[in-house]
Amino acid sequence: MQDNKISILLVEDDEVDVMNIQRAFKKNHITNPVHVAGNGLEALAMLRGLDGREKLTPAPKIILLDINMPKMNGIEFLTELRTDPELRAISVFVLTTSDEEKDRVAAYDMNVAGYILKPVEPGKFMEAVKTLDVFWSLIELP
Amino acid sequence: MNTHSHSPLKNWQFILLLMLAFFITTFAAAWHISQLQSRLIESTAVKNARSFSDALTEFRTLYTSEVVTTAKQHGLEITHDYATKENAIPLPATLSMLLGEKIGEHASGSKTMLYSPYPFPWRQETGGLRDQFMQQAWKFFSQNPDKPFYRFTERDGREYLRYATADVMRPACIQCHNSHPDTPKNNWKTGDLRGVLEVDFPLDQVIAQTQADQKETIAIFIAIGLLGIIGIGFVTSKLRHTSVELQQRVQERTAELVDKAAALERINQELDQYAYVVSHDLKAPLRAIANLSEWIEEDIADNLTDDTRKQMTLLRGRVARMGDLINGILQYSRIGRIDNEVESVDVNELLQEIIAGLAVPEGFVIDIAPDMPVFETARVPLSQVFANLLSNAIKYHHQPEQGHVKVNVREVDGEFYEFSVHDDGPGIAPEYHEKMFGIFQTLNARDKVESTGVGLSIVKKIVEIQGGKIILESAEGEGSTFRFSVPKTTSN
Repeated sequence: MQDNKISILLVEDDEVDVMNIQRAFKKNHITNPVHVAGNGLEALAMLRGLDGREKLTPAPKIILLDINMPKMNGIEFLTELRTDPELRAISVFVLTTSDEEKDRVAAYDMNVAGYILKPVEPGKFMEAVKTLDVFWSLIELP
Repeated sequence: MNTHSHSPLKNWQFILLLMLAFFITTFAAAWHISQLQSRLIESTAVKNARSFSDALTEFRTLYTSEVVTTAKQHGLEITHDYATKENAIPLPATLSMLLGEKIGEHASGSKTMLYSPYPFPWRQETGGLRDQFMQQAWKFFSQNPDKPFYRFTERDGREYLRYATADVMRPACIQCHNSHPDTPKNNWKTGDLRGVLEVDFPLDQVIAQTQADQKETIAIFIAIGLLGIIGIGFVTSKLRHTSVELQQRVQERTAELVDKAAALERINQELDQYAYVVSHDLKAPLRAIANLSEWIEEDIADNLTDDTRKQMTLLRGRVARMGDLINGILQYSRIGRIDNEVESVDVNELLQEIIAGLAVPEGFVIDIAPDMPVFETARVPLSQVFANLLSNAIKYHHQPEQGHVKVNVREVDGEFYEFSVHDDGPGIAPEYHEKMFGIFQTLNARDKVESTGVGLSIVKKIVEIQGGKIILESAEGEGSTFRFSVPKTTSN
């Protein structure tokens, strides 16, 4: 991605998955700043600067979101996000193991930009991140 | 539940009908018996009258031949007014009448009459054809002298049998009748109808007797009727009691069954949910193992030996297999959790699509019978079944470059389509047929042919959920035929 100022918020509770994405970014030379939140509540706190957390500035324009998380899961987070006038425009990509129809439908109801299944094989995920990078460089984010 | 409100009404109708039938039968029987009795009265009366009349006739004949003839030879006079003359005896007819009268005095008012259109002068008053019956009798006997003529009539409030027989001129009488000074007719011939002998029998006694009998019979019938009604009532109440009991028991059993079915469904759903959650939760650490192992390999790439590199490859191979297995469980648990839409499916088209999506080796032939149906069914499950069976046929074929698969269809019982997928592959020994459909069952070592053993279990589950059956016909070296049935109309 050309514009290095655009920051990305990764909402993911699995440490290895976080590592996975960071590694994939590194390999694809994606140098944008990546912030990590362990669940939906933490992510909201970071976006709004609550609970003694520093508000992320500039606000991330892209969120990579896991569905199955403790405390506040991805769908609940999305619901909250879309009702917040300041945050509703953020582009959200769901990254999940759940290929259940109801999760997919719920996510698209919340206007997600993409729904990506985490594959078991590492190579495939690399491909996905590469594609995402190409996609991000093509489109004009708000 | 409708039957609840209807059944008592129906019961009552049934009972009413039964009672009605019972009464009708009883009355019909009683009526029939009374008919029989009145016929019996008549026949008894006729019989009595005949024997009386026969006796009189016999007596007269005997008197004529045995007494009158001898008396005449001895110079006695034979006359109707024998009582006022000396050396006179009565005429046969006179004596017969007298006898009849005497008997009648004893026997309940029976009367004897002898008459004809030719009465002797002294009987001008009593001996003619004085009423309709007498005239009819005379007319009847001029045609049928051998038969009796009788009628049942009423006189002075009593019922009578009027029984008449023909009095024919006999040889013993003819001379006297033709020569008697007072005879009304002197050209009698033997066999001429001389007169009519009528016996009148009152029926009172016979009727009284039979009526008494009838009363008894009717009493018996009433008793039977009452017993019958009581019996019907008893049986009905017993039946109703039993039916109420049965109904209750059926309801209880149904409730139990419904409960059990619900419990079973819940358990099944829980099991599917469990399989789903478990496989999801298993996937996360599996992915972590795959990732971490790869990163380790990348990070220490320079220090790896060929052995450790091979081991890392094997490790990831196993991780991938576990991923497949978990996906298999997921697929298996998903069947039936998802409602599939029923639509019109052109099976031939469906098969072409599936085959296009399979990696069919060069030289491998798949024949589809021309009579594939178009019918209403769920497209996705049918497609899954065919795809599994066809890909198995290719995957496990010993000579893929010249394999041959045939897909056929036939109708069964008018309710099912039975599709068959026949291959000329290596075949499966009968002892493994049952096992083939179990989950995670494979015949080959997993390293030889990479397979999870989920496919056929999925196929079986799909077919059975749709209400069909699947069977395998195969033997080693003879290829395999999978036959599965799909209902022609799917309610989903």
